[in-house]
This record gives sequence, C-alpha cells and structure tokens, in this order.
Amino acid sequence: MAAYLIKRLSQGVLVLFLVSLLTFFVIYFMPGDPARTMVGQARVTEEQLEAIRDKWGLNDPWYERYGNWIGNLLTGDLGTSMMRPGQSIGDMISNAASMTLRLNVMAFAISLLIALPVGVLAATKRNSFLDYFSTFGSTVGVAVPNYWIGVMAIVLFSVKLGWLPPYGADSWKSYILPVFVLSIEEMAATMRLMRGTTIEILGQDYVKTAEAKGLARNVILYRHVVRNAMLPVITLLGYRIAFILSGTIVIETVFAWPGLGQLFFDAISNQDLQVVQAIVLLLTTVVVIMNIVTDMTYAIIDPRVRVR
Amino acid sequence: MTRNAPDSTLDHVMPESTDAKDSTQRLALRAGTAPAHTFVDGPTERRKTWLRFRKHRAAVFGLGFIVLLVILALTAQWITPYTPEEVNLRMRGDGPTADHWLGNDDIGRDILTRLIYGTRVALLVGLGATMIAVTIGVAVGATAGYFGGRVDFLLSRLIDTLMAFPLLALLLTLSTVFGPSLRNVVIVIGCTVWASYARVVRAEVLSLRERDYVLAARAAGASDRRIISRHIVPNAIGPVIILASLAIGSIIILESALSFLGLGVSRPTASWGTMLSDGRDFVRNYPHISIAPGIAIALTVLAFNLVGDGLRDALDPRQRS
Amino acid sequence: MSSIHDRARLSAIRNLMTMHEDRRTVLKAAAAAGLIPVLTSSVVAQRTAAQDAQPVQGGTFVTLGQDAIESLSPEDSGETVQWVPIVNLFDGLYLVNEQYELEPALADSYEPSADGLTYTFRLKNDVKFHNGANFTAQDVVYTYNWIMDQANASTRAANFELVDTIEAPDDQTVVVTLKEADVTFMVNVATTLIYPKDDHAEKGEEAFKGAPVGTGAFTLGEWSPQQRVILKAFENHFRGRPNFDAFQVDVVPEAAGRMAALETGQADNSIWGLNAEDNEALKESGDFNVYETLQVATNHFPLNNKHPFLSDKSVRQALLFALDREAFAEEIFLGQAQVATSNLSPALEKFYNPDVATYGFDPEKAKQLLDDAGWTEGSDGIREKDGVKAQFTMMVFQGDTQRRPEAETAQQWWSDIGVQCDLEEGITSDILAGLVDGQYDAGLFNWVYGGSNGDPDARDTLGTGGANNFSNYSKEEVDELLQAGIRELDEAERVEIYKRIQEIVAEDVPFLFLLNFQNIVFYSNRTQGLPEEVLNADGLYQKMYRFWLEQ
Repeated sequence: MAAYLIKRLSQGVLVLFLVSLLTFFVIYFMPGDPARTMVGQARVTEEQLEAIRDKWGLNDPWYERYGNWIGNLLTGDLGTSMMRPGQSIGDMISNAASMTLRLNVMAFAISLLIALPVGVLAATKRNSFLDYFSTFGSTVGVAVPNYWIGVMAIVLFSVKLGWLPPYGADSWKSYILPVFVLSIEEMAATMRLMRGTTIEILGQDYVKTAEAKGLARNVILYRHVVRNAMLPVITLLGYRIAFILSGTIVIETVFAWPGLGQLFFDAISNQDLQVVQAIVLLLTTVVVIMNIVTDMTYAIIDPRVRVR
Repeated sequence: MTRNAPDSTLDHVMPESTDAKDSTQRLALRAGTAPAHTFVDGPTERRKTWLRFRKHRAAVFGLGFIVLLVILALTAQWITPYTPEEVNLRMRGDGPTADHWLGNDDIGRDILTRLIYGTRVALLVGLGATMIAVTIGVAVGATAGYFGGRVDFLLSRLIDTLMAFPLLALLLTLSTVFGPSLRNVVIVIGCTVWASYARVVRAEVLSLRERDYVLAARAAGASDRRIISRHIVPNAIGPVIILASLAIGSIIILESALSFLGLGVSRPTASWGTMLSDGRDFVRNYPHISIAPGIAIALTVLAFNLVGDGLRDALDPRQRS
Repeated sequence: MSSIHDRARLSAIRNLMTMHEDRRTVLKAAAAAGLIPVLTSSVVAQRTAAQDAQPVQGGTFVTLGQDAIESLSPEDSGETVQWVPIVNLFDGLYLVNEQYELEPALADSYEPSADGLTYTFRLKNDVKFHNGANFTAQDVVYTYNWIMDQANASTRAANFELVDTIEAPDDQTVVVTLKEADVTFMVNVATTLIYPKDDHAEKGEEAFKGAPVGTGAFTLGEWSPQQRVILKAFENHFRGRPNFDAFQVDVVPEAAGRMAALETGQADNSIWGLNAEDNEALKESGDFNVYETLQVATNHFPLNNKHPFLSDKSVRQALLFALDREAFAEEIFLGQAQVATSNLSPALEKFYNPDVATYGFDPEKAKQLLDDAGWTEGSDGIREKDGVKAQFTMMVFQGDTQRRPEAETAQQWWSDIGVQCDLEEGITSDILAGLVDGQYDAGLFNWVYGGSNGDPDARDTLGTGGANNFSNYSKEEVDELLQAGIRELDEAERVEIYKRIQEIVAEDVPFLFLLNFQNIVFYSNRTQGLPEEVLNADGLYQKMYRFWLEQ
C-alpha cells in the first residue's frame, strides 16, 4: 500500500511538472503585449513600456521566467495581478475559489441526494414509470447545454416571474438558479451511472446466489448492490470535483457569479498571464490530488486494483 | 492508474471510459469469456451487430436523425430559400411567419436557414475533432500499450497531463493563442480530447498483446508495425468507436460553449453556439432567437448519445443494460 | 445606449469657453449665472415623475455596470462603469454638471488674469479627505504635477499640454500659469480629480488604484471587481453627509440581467445602456424617471488610415455609401438614434455644421467609386488593386450585442460591393489601444470627436498622434485648425474653425461616422430630488450626494 502510494505520488509530481511546463508555454505564445494592454491608453513612451516589461519580467528568456514563476510558487508567492494592480493573486484566487466551491458543493450535494436513490430504484424497478422517467431525464439532461438552460431560467424565473434575482451572489435566493442549472448535468450523469451499475451488479452470480439463498431484497440491495455500486460513483465524484472549473466557467458568465470561471475568463481577456497560469495550475493540482485520493480509496476498497 | 475524464461535459457520456468500469470489463476479458468486441469479425457478425443495434429503437431514431442532419448539411444551399448571411434589418426579431418558419434574428436573418447551415459547423466540429482525437489517441495508446516500459511510462504521463487540464480553460486559452475560426476550433478540440481514447486503447492493447494470435504473429516474424496495425488496433477499436460516438455530442456542446463565449467559430458563419450568443441579449424580447439553436443542439447531442448507447449494446453485448 | 466614455467627457465642459473678447467678464458671468444654453430644447430631457418630499437619509442606491471594475483611481476613469464610482469618491476644483454648467466643488472661486495666462483659485475651507487629512492647496499642486510628470505616463497628461506651473502661495490658494492661452482650461484642467498628497505619494499609484482616498461624498466600502463596488456615505463630506447610506454599482454583463434587475426593482439605475426594446418597455412602465438627451458621442467605425486598403479616401467614402445608416437608426435602435454627418453631434448646436458632404445609402455609387479608384473585382469576388486585397478586420467589443448588429450588417453590405470585412471580438482596452497603435484595422464603438460638454475641441481624436486618434488620421490643415481652435478668443471665428473641420472630416471620412445616439437614462421612482430637466443625463452621476430614496 505504501509503495503504491509513493509510486502514485511521484507520478503525480511528474504530471504537475509537465502541466506547469505546458501551461507556461501555451501562455508564453499568447499573442499581444501584456504591457500594452496594461497601460491601456495612457500615453507612454516605448521606454516606459520597456520599463513595465522589465518590471513584470516579460523580457526575460523563457527559462528564467519559468524558473522565477515556479520558484515563487514553491515559496507560496503567487505575485500580484496585472489587470488589478496592487492586488495579490493569492487573494483574488482564494476569494473566487470559495465562491465557485460553494456553488459546486451545493450542486453536487443536491444531485447526489436525488440521483443516487433514483438511480438504484430505477434499476430495481425496470420498465416502471420511474425507470423510464429517470432514463429519459438523464438522457436529455446531458444533451441540453446547461448554459442555455441558465439563460432560459433567467428569462422565466427572473424576467417573467420575478421570483429570483437574475445575477449576483447575495442572498440564498441568488444560489437557487445557478445551483439548479449546474446540478442538472451532474444529476443526469450520476443517475445514469448508478442505474447502469446497479443493473450490472444485480445480474452478477453472487447476487443471484444471495437471492437464491432467500436473502431479503433490501438486504441484498444494501449489502451487495449499493456498496459495490459506490465504487464507480466514487470515481465519478473524484473527477467531477476536479473538473469544477470547466463545468462552471460558462455558468458563471451567465449568472455573473464572481467565481474562478469568471476570474479566468477576465484574466485571459486582459492577458493577465500570471492569473491564468495560477488558476490552471491550481486546478490541475486538484485533479492530480483527487486522482491519487480516488486511487487510494479504490485500492482500499478493491485490493485487486493494486496489482496493475 | 488514474481515472478522470477529459471534462465534465465529456465524462457523462461514458462512465465506461473510466477505469471503474474498465476494471470489471478487463476482469471479464482476462477470464477469457467471449471475444471482447466483434467489430472486425466476419460479415455474419457484422450483421448480428446490426440486428442488435436495430433492436435498440432509440438508437435507430438517433441514427435517423443524424442521417437527416447530414442530408441537411450537404444540401443546405438548395433547400434553404435564403442565404445564412442575408441581413434584413426591417425584420429584426420577427417571430415565425409563413415565409420564415422559425422567425428572424436580431439583424433579420432567417433563423431556419442559419440553423440548417449550422448543422455543417456542428457536424464538421463534432466529426472532425473526433477523427483527429481518435487518430492521435489510437496511435499514442497503441504505442504505449504495445511497447510498454519506458515508452509506456512517458506516454502515460503525457496522457495524465492532458487529462489533468480543465478542458474548457485549455480550449479558451488555445483559442486566444490561435485566434477563433472554424478550422482552429476543430484542430484545437481534436488535439486536446484525444487522451481518453489513448487511455482506453492502451488498456485494450495491454490485454490484447498477450493473446495467442498476437503471440503467433510475433513468432512468425511479423513486424511490430504490422502487428499493431493488423492485429492489435482493429481489435481494440470497438471501445474507441463507442467512446467516440458518445463523445461527439459533448464536443458539439463544447463548440457551442466556445462560440457562446465569443472564442469559437467567427462571424458571420452560422454556428448554433454563435446563434445562441446572438439571442442571449434578446431573450426577453425575442426568445425564439435562442430557443431554436438550443433545441437543435440538444436534439443533435441526444441523437449522438443514443447512437452511442446503441453501438455499445450492439458491439459489446456483455454491457447491455 | 451608453458610449464608451472617454476621458474627454470627464475632463471637460468646454462650452463655457465660447467667449467673446472680454473673457473675464464671460467667465465670471458663466460661473455666476450658470446655464449656458448650448443645446436645442428638443434634446432637453423631461422627467416623468415629480413631487419630491423632504430629503431623508438612508437606503442603498443600486446602479448597474457591464464590465468588471478593475480600478478606482482617477487615472482609470475612462470607462463609464469606473468613472461613476470614481466621481463619487473624488472631487475636482470645479465640475461640469448635468446642465453643462461649471460648478465649484473643492474651489470657492477662480479668477482668470486679463491675458488669460494665469488662473487663481480660492479653495474651500474645512474639506476633509476620507482618511481624515485636510485638503489644502498642496494636494492640488501635487496632483497636477504628478499628472504632468512624464515618468508617470498619466492618462490625463494631454489636458495639461499648455500648463506651465502650479503654485500655492498659501494653503487656500492655487495659481496656475499657462504657456499659452487655453480656451479649454477650466473644463479640461480645473475639473481634474484631486489626490491626497501624502497618501498617494506614500502608496504609489498602483496601490492607490485599489485603495482610493478622496474628498468625495462616498468612501470605499466593499469592492469585489467582478461583482460590485459598495461606496459608503462619508460623514465628513464638505457638502454634508450624502442622503444615501450607500451607493452601489453591481456588475451585470448580461443585458437581460440588467433589464430584469431594473424591472424587479433590484436596481434603481443602469450606467450601461439597455437594448432599444428594453428602453421602450421601461419608458412605458411608468416606474422610472426617464432622461433622454442626444449624445455628443458619435457611433462609428474607426478605420486605420494607414492600412493599405483603407488609406484610400475613395475607399472610405465608398464604404460609407454602402451603409444604410437610416436602417441602423430605425431598425436596430428603434429610432433612438439619428444619422451622423461628421465628427460633431447636432447636440452641439452652435458648432454643428449641417452643410457638409453627405453619404446617403447608395451601393451603386459605392461600386463606382471603387471602380474609379482602380479597385477591381478579383476571381473570388473580392476587389483588389496592385496585389492589395479589399479586405480588413473589424474589432468588436466582447459581448457588445447592442452594437454588434451594425458590424454584422455592414459586413454583408460591404460584401455586396466586393469588400471583405472579417469580424473579431476583443476586450475594450485592448481594442482601443490597438487601434491607436495601428495594430487593428477597424473597430466599432462610440466616442466623442469634439463636443464633450459642449466644447468642440477634438485634438485628442483628430489631431496627429492624439491619444485617442483611433483612425491614425493625420492632416496638416486639421492639426492647424485644432490648435487655432483652442486659442481663438472670438466665438464667431471659433465656430467657423470647427465648421471647417467638420467639412474636412465629412470629405475625408477618416472614420465611418454612423449615428448619434439618444442617451436614455432611467432612475427608479423611489429616487427623489432629481432635477426636472437636464441637458446631460450622465452629469447626474456627480450629484449622487444630493438625491435621496423614498423610505
């Protein structure tokens, strides 16, 4: 177990190194001059522009820029933002991340609360109304672009009915629409997975044996089915958490939610390269860590995994 | 073994692409039950597959819809009474009429015409990007799986790296670097989503390379390239096809999201995502502008997902649910 | 529809300077009497509701912006969404108000010398900065010198072009000496928002952007750039505590979101405009006081005059002939705009010149012009000449759904005459800077080409090398006229100068002047203390200290 953990950790570090390199180079080749963007229309001379570039290290050779970035990162210094002069990137990101996290944790909780029981029930009552309903719902739920649902929901609930605020993150009311929209896709995916896995497990020999032995249906469901079905769900959870940004980037723009997605979009538009780099690295780190965590969970639940 | 999908919009289509399911699948493979996939088997097998697919009514419906889309895309210039760029400011935001079945957008263009032309972009991006991704993914996955060792280690880390990226964030950055255009969208998406194919193929190849017929071919002195291209890849392609058919839908959504954010297909090209973004500010007054492309995207993605489901059931009977 | 507001507007109420020989008399009279009737009555806004009660304190006034608020320093007041909170945090010696009047703020009075080269300001007593420091003449000297110091690359340096020295004989007096007489001095320079000397010097401009300290009616409360700025009432404001407890700017990128917020009463006002349809709906709702004034800004496509294709005058004229600008005004903006004729808006009645070359919708004429200039159609339907393609790229602001239709429509109309225009989206600051630098071919936005607050000076936009010369336009005659314009004391002469400029601009078409928009501004009915009529609705944002909310 320890050896496996060490192996996974070292792989993780390697991946993070590659990620940082790749991020750095993609951003290195971004067109435009961040210094020019930064000064906007201020009347600057070419010397003053040079001074700004020097100050932000834009003139250094790539290896120095990369080295400085990583060096500062390792000491926990994310630097200051170019688009919001004087603000520390660390603060900007932690504020935004907490907003994004809140949204996603709620969406996650709601989708799991609904999707897990419905998925299992649908699997046990094949061809029932519930089954058709959940199958239909999860098929449609993943097909409809969620940002479109968001736009439509604003029209309906905010503009036409005036029940909910159309934007912002003020009261509990402002959470309803974005959380609802975000949870749809989540719910659909989880429901589908839960149903599929349960059906598969119900068909396994040991379940049939248990049934033959006359074990109560509920006991079988709980002891064999649900516990086994949790495995893939944990996996799903692992990478869903890791991919928070992609899922919310468009939704945050639609609802003007001051989270990571919006920050990222702003940063990329304003060529605030430091912020872009920091966000990407933060998120990939989360992914890598979540992967290791799920792998370990897996290895504990299902020892066979370790063999490979 | 790491598990994650390239993106939240991709992963929903294919829980099987995660190792959670893979592990059960591979356990079955190792136990030597039935050939994993029947894709390249003889004509009778192919026919059986088709029969199994046909039983899947939703999948047939999905396939029908896709065929319809392809026809629309190919014949767009003959079946539409207007051109997608034709502006008529006097019809700004007009609702459906006999002349304009789906109404007109914010500068009076015919929405139905743009919707039909939009199928071209959707299919081009969905199929084009998937083809690029499958090509890269199969090549990398097969190489890694077949050769193993250091090659495998390096390629696997490359796959991990790509999979660790938040996809939409990466796409937005790349779009900014290369500039938004239809061609760039196809290439950029294709070059970023291949990792999941590589991972699946690698896993398949790992098990296939120890099979008797591969060992026999090797003993007979066949070259690595020949073994990979003749024996390994054709047999590993089944899950790739399933994964691909299920991923096309999410790629269409990705394209629309990129265009929605202004970093996808450039104007005036009619893309469903751009149409949605056109209608976004007018949802209050002219909701029909954004409703039509929204439904088009949903139906198309649905159709591809249904076909993917059907293909999975047909190609891989064990997985039928 | 709001324009991107230019610092020209902030800096300037120039109309005052339309004076006769005795400048002093005019200046004094203007300051005393107030209203300078520059604008036609047709653009005077009527407020729909009235009946205000006595002022009460309390409540939060909420307004809406479309873009993140990245900085709150006067240096960055170019974009309206930043300008509005900034003018509520800071004051200048004078301000130009909603009636285009010069109104004392931090100063009590000013005295120009007979030769117009020296201005002496008496400052108000007992003005406090938010941090408790006293406002003195030293703060003015510091601010002006900071802006004039080239090392600081100030966005406002151009206004100080003719300023020579600033002195403070005592704490309540500031004397500004000019190198040459500058007719625009009061509106350009005296309105400059003042920094607190010690605080700003200590923090430096960069840190100050995030921690602004001024003398304004409100102090910075909460600030989350992507989400909102909340300004709190400043108890020790020199005009007395403002009535609102808080003044809040919410950032709402979606037009539909802004509309919903106004309709549901979540917001009282929107800094950034709405769709034409939404404007109509809100006007009809009766829930708002509506101010409607003709903008002095011009809605236009700036064109890079150094671009191989666009540098040809006939090409620019042809491009304009190919546009049905009437249709823009009537169909896209539902009549809330009118066709522009040159660089000045008709709102600037005294200086406006209607007798210039006109460009009605005439695609045939456009083709003819291109043919005559040697631009002939190639095999792909795109014209070319000497290997140069009739092609350029237009930059549109990201998410600018109100104006983007103009670009998309123009793209089609131009393709009909064999010209290819590609559209790209980008962020505001990048597009503006890129156009001035000549990196971009064309753009689409509104800008004041002379006329800000009534004065027609346009050095920054039409002068060679001007800070906002988006079209890289350069013409010796125009440069000379512009320089003469700020020095000419005789009003009639001055009018002639600017009329001549309009003639040249109409003939040269350095940029494609499209429309002059109505500026339609809404204030919720619960907002009290609003004036009956205004000439410049945006000027009201400087008066937030005065209004109150019905409780």
